[in-house]
Amino acid sequence: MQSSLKGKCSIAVGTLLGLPEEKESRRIVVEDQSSFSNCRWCSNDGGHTESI
Amino acid sequence: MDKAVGDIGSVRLHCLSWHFILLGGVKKRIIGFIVSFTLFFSACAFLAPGAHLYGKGSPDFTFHPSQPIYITLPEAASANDKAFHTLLVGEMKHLGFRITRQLSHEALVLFFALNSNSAEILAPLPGNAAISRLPEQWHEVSLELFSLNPIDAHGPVWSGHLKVKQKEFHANPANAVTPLLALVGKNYKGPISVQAYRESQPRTATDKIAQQQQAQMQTLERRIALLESQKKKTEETTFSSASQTKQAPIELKLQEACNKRTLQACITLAERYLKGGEILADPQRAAQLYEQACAGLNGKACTNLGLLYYQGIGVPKNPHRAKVLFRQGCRLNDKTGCTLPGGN
Repeated sequence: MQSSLKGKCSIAVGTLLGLPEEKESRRIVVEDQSSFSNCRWCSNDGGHTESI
Repeated sequence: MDKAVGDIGSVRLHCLSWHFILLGGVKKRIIGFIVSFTLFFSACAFLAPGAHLYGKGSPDFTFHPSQPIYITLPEAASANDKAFHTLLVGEMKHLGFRITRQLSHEALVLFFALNSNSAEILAPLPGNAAISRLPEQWHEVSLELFSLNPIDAHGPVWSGHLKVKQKEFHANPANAVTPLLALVGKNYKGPISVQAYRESQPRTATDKIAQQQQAQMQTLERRIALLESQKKKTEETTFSSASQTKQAPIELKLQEACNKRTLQACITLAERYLKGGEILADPQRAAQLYEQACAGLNGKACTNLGLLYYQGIGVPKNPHRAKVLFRQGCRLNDKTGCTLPGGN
């Protein structure tokens, strides 16, 4: 299962804040995707994730 | 009346110098004072009079290069202390402190003595002549590490307490400082702050405080549920824009609890201000509430505040500040903070 894997993926900031996901919400890279059910693998991100 | 350590507002440090303490015998102390003299001049060489010290209450908090800021280098530092010192030096450099001379890898603790009763800075620690003039009630030292970097203007990057009995301090200042070093060395997990406590209250461990806050929060949640059910019965199902500008009873209760330092109440209220709906969304207020809870050592609040900075919600977009807050959240045991960039 994907949720048991570890690696970088991205998630919308609004989601992390418990807000309804909005289109304009930036995505942020998280180190352990297993912590988030709706994390998107960075490789499939299409360049939408900004690194800081 | 007690005052939060961070609320030092308009207090000013009147002067600045550097002091070097070596624990141990007289010979070592003499060497220490020689080094301190060197450090004094090196410090004054780069810190201009009146340079701003950023922290809560900034910009009223100001350096003046005649009041000591002590740098303590324990000669017989433990491996733990060395690790802490390395971490702290890195942190200080990262936050914009300029260190002109680093004598060893066992460097640098920067702290101030603060009378928690009066919230006035009385004297730096340790061994300062001013200590002999300290009032009787001076029994607790609040220590704060501030950044010179404007982005850290939200508060001290580190603060903590040391209980010091005046007579013991007079008898042996160095020994009085030893527990401080142990405290700092063992407990430093990144930028944190704590609040002053009353002498009459027992010293409580952080996790015990968290348990108390959790219990308070459960009571609060029950009240909220009750209020919500009452609200449903008595109010219209829709809110006019005029009614949205008013603070609903639930928000008032949450604000009240937050003011009493129930941190979870601050977070719940912040979430409500972020989401809007029943109340008018107010991201800036949400950020303030997260900041308040973060200063009270709530990891989730720090992480969420970092996300606000990352996205630029209610605060100016500031990725660097976001990283600092993710790390702070992680060190305060918020798992999400640990997974975010710079958090771990």
